[in-house]
Amino acid sequence: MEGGIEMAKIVFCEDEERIQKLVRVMLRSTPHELYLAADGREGLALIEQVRPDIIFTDISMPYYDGFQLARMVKERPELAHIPIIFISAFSQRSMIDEGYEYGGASYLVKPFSAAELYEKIAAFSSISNPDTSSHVP
Amino acid sequence: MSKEGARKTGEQKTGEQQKQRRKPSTSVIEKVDRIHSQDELRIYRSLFVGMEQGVIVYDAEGRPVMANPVAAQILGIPMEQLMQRTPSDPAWRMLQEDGTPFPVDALPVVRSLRSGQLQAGIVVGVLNPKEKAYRWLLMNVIPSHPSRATRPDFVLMVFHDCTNEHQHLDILRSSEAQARSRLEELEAIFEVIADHVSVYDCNMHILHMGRVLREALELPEENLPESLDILVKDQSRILDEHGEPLPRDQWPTARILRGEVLKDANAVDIVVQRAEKHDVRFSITGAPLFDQYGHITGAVTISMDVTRRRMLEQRTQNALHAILSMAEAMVEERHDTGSLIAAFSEGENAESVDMVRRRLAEIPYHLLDCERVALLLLDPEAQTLEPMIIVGASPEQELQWRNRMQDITLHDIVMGNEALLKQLYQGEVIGLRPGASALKGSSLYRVVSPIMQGKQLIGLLVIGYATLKVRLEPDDLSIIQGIGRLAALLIAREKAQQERDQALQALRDANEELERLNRMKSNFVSIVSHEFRTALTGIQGFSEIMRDSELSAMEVKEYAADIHADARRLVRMINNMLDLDRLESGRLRLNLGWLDLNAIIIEVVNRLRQSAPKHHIRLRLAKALPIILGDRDKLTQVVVNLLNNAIKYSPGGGEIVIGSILEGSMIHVYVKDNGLGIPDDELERIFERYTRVETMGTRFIQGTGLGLPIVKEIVQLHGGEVWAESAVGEGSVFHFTVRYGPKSV
Repeated sequence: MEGGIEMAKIVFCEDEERIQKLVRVMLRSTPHELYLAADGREGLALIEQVRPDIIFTDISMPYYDGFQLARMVKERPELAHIPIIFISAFSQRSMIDEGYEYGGASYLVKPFSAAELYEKIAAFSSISNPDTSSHVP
Repeated sequence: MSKEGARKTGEQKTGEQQKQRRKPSTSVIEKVDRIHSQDELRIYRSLFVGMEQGVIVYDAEGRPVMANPVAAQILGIPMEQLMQRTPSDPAWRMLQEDGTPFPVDALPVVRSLRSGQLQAGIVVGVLNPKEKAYRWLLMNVIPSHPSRATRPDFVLMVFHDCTNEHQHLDILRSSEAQARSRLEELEAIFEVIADHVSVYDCNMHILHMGRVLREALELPEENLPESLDILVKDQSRILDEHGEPLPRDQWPTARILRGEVLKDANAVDIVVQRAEKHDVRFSITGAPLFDQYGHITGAVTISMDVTRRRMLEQRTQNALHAILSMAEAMVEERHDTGSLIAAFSEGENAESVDMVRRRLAEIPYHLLDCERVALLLLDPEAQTLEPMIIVGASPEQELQWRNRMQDITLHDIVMGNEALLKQLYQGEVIGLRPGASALKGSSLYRVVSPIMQGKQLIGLLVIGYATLKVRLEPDDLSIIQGIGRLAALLIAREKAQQERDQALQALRDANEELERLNRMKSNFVSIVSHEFRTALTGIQGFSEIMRDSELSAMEVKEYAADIHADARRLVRMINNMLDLDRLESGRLRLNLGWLDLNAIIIEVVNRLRQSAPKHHIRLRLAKALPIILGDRDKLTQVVVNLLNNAIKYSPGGGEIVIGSILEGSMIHVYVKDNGLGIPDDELERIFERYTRVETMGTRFIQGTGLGLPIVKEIVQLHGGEVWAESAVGEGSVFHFTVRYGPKSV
């Protein structure tokens, strides 16, 4: 990626409509492909279908919450390599630690800025790219 | 000094005097008999003066005729006085040999003068006035008869000092008396010992059995068993001091027959166990008998019956042990409660209380010759007795006892005998025959001691005896009363402990409540911050975009509306928090007016329907609901909160029913959903502040947890109640009532 931003496929799970909208607006001017899900169940289906480079997920969601979703992703060998970034209004230490225990690659606390979001995408999207890394599931 | 001097002279003389004692006297008599001429008289006089014996000559009337200087010296009287004293002169102080005063008639001189007989070898004690001490004289009185007349015309008293010999004699006599009494003692001792002594031959045949052993074993004197083996085989077993059977070769007699000497520290305690009779305990000492060749031919044993002594020793020891154990249990208990809350454990405490009670009951059990000891606690109001502890009963008996003692009254104990009841209340110990009490069920005689605290009866100490105690020994009575007092102290102590435990429990509860509130507060802070951060995400994000991006006027307007919506959400949350605070602190005043609850419900439903497209909200309102006096805004808030919850907690959509019913003076409103439901253990806490049902399934649901507490406060202000029913996975129904009747709000 020389000079420009490499395109990443992103699945974003968030049940709050207004935050979904915010993310959509924030990523509108980037080359990334954004797939939005309103709950955990929908999120998992989307991840299986899209095979994203990076997953963002809220923790409080209907059906599967963020942690359950992360566990299910990590349990599937074909998905386990995808970095998961929790994005939550829970800011306490214990919650962040729990996120890492479930296999989260990073944690973003709400409210967050567009710059923070771009930074996470840049930092983690290349990791799972099969073209640039020879990962072991 | 003079006394000693005199004695020394006497001692020096002793040897010669004893040799000469009789012979010189005889020669003097012969000589005096033959005095005829003055010359001869002179010769005899010088002989008379030089004699080592004292000599006094009395005439027929007993008047002294002459005396030699030795006589005056021995008697300690000047010659002139001596010559004027008749034998019966009261100035003499004379003793017989046994120390009693000499009767005048018995004096040797007087006797001889009267009888004309020779008085020989008579011992007379005479007080020597110079020495102020008695001298003992060995005295002969020789009468002189003119021709053949019966009465003598004079007598010759010859004596010498035998004080020393007399003293020796005294010593001899007293030592003889001592020896005799020693012998008597020995005989007495032997007589007693003989009672204990038994003699066996080398085959343990009984040659002699001491009375004590025979009587202790209740054997007939005439028909003793032939040998120890027969005795044992017939009726008894021999056990060692610990109650273990003693093999024959370890019997004391067997050991003695092998040459052992059992005495002092080697004395052996044995127990003779007899069928249907009390065990008897003997302490046995003894030694083997030898013949002239040194072979053992038998054994002599001394058996002391120590049954009672050992029993008393054992009892004292047991009682001491029980007292120590009780003290230990009390000390241990104190250790337990050293740390105020940490070590507090109800179970352990009850156990140690039971232990102390048991130890207390064990003291009289060991000290008195009894079968059972029980402690009963009196409930002063119900007058019923509560069983505390029993000692001496098997576990089954104890269970029966505890059952029997349930709800038994003091009246039952004495079978309604008012006199006995009165005695108990006055602190007196009473006795009960078997069956004369509700304590029936066994055949024990009972002594019941009241346990008094001051003048109040607080319990009973019941001692059960197998046999009737006609009269309690004063010792036993004082033990029973002492234990009664100890029990009173124990009960008072338990009571204090109970109060302390309750205080501790209250403290612990308060502590737990504080901890719970603290957890709730942390929880609340976490929830509120989550809600604030969520609302702020939109506000911050959209305002950032508006700042940094080129937007169309339409976009600006749209995002501003988003920001505004989240800002309103924040305001609402803050208002809720403030409301609840005001409601709870009683600072919120209702803005009262007449209103129709059905109208409020319809208004709210219409408003919320738009924001819940997935849900089907149905109304089931009572017709013609009376109008009520209430706060329109607050009641609207109640309906909004309940309906919002129903929508939020049924994320899959579905039917929500809201209805109103008229019930007496109350209007009952309910909201029913088919949502996630609430677990039972959470259901009772959902109306508490800062509580939110946190499960995996509900964690996503937005909310501060303030909605239901606010509902509860508002409803209560309107004289109503709020409650919920729910089943996980099926949904919930929330109810509230509002009073419409005359009660002012």
